[in-house]
Amino acid sequence: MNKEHIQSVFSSDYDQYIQSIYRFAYIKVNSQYTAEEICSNVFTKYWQELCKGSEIENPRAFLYKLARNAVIDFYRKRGREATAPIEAGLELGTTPSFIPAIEVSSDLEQIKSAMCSLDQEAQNAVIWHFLDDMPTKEIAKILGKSDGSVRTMISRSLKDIRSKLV
Amino acid sequence: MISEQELENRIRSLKAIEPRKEWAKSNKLFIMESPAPRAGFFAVPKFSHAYVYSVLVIVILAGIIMSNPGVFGSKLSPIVTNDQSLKYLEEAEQKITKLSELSKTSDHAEISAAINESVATLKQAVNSLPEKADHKKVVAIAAKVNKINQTLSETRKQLGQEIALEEQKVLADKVAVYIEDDIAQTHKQLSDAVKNEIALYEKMELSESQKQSLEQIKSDFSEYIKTRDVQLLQSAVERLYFLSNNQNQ
Repeated sequence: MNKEHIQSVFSSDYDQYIQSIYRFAYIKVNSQYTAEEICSNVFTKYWQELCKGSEIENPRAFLYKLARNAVIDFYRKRGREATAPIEAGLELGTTPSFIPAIEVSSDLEQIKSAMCSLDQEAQNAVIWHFLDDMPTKEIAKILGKSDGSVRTMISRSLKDIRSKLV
Repeated sequence: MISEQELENRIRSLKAIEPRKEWAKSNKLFIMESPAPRAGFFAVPKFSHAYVYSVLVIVILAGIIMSNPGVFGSKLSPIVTNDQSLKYLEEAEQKITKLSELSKTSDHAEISAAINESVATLKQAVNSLPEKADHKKVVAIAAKVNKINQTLSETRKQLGQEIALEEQKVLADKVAVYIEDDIAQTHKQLSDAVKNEIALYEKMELSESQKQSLEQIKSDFSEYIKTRDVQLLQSAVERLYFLSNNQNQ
């Protein structure tokens, strides 16, 4: 790939996936600053891979893999295992950009808190399926599971979330 | 209890989370103007870490040996050309370890024989040391000598007598010379690498912040050339490392 082609591929993929990766990171870390930092690292690595001439078959899966690792690193460094509640980010003064658009309703806080109570894998599956409209087959490929087990995982996760939304 | 459809809709409402538009735009431009990673010294973080680490190991080993007042002052023994030094050092280490074990017993005949064997193999090891050694060999020899020194010290305490003092001094003296040579060689290689990297970056299109980093690197390096202050070389290496990984200082 020549430089122009690399730039064109990167630019297109960046525009296509920046929102998904940011959203994924934000839900996990609950901080605008950290989510931006994670996104920046993820896309920098992606850019470097393209420049090295690596052929990336599925950019979305590749970017999510980098983002998952970045989130794990973040929590490893923080010495925390659980995802922070939504209030944590707000208390730190990190007002998310989506707030003016939808206003943080108690409904939204509830749903996010309920999602955070899921284990990481189930949380990822729910985010990818409902927020990225990713087919269960693709999720199965990323998680290294069968399509059936991903469907079951999502179904159980919905049940868990619903039980917390009383 | 809410319906499944309502729950899915609520989850989908999180789609409204999006990054700041200005940040997303500037971040993209920032990434795209960063220099592409190149094959070579600074393009492989693991390697460059290993390299810097190896320099530190050498410096630490040199410090340990030079801070021991008993190890300097002896003349070097004649050195044979056939380099079997590591093999003989290994043998010496084994003999001394065996002696160390025996020294805890009261079998005087065995201990006496083991002392003679230890000293003889240590002399052989000293005589087998080459005039010059490459970096890998220096590290291996220094590690072996360090182990031998430790075991000898323990054994002397157990036996209550000084054994193989002269041989140990010659060994330490020779290792100190190796390390000094190796540090000088490493600094030269590192200095050449930094010089080449600066020349390469000067040919690239860089952002303002990257240009500033490069100026700092050039300033550190130029001062190092004048003063030979290793901290300045280290600073230039670190800044180059961060520049190559798109993390401006």
